[in-house]
Amino acid sequence: MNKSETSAYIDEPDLVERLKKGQQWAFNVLVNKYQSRLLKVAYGITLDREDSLEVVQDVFVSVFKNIQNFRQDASLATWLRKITINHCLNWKRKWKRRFKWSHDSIESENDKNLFRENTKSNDPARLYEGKLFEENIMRAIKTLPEKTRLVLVLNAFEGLSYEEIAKTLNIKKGTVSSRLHIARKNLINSLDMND
Amino acid sequence: MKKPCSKYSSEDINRFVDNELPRDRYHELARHLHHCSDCSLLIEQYESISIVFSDHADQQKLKIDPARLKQRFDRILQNSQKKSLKNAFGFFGRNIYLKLASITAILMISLFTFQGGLFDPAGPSAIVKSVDTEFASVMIIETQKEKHTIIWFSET
Repeated sequence: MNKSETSAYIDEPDLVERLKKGQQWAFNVLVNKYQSRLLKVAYGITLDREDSLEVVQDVFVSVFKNIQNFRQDASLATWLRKITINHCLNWKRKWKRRFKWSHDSIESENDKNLFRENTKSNDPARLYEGKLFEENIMRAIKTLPEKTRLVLVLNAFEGLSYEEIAKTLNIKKGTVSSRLHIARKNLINSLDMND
Repeated sequence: MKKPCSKYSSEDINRFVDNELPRDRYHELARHLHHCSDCSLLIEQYESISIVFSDHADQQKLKIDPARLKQRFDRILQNSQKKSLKNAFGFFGRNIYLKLASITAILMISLFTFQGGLFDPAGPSAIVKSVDTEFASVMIIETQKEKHTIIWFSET
């Protein structure tokens, strides 16, 4: 059995042990296993392809450097998610300081992908409707305050409960509920305004 | 925005979507949905936000460049190797006692060298000739190492 085959069967404690021993192969397993999940979270927060790639790369580098500090109180996925969120927020703050953050990446880069999902349907009217809906939602999501969008990302992408989100972000459960409520209400309102 | 009916608030709908309502309230609202199109529509709208947002992120098909990441890992490894070598041998590593002992030894060697007492041969230089008269004494001395001649004169 080669290493790529065994990587599918490696359990978390074993993986962590190998990571702590500095085995390069274990880091490859870690990257393959978690990159798409972390990239999705990073994209949800930054809403920028390049930024999310940079952030997640930094996350893995940071894990590579600090794996000895991982005490295994929480799962590896939880630890990685937390690092990703922190990196995203720091990244955003960094760029905000450099006046970069105001650029509009949704229309330029992402419009190419808007129709992709709707290729299942051949009806042009439905395709157009779907594209418009997605476009409007994404435009509205971009205007959400960072804190509110962060809660939405953890809810929509990671499927976390209010309690888990509260724990991750160090906020109250009630705050999670109200932020999600505000996010959804604002998004639906902005869609109504576009109609 | 489509408002829910008077029986439930949009906050209730929000928590229903996330399965965060108390159990009895959840089932009550679920039954209510069979005959309330307003609440059903709002639930549909709330759910569609998460679906569209999540799908949109999936469509980006993001993937890390493994070669670039490996390069960064290798750089860290190289730096840590350099660092550990420096720690091991840079001024005798991390042993503070060894450092103190080294400094003391250097200070002592410098002191004795300065005074000329550590490595120079001990004892006086050789007296080649000595003459004593009533009025004066003369001594011819030759240094041991450099073989310099010193003439020492003294009136008595």
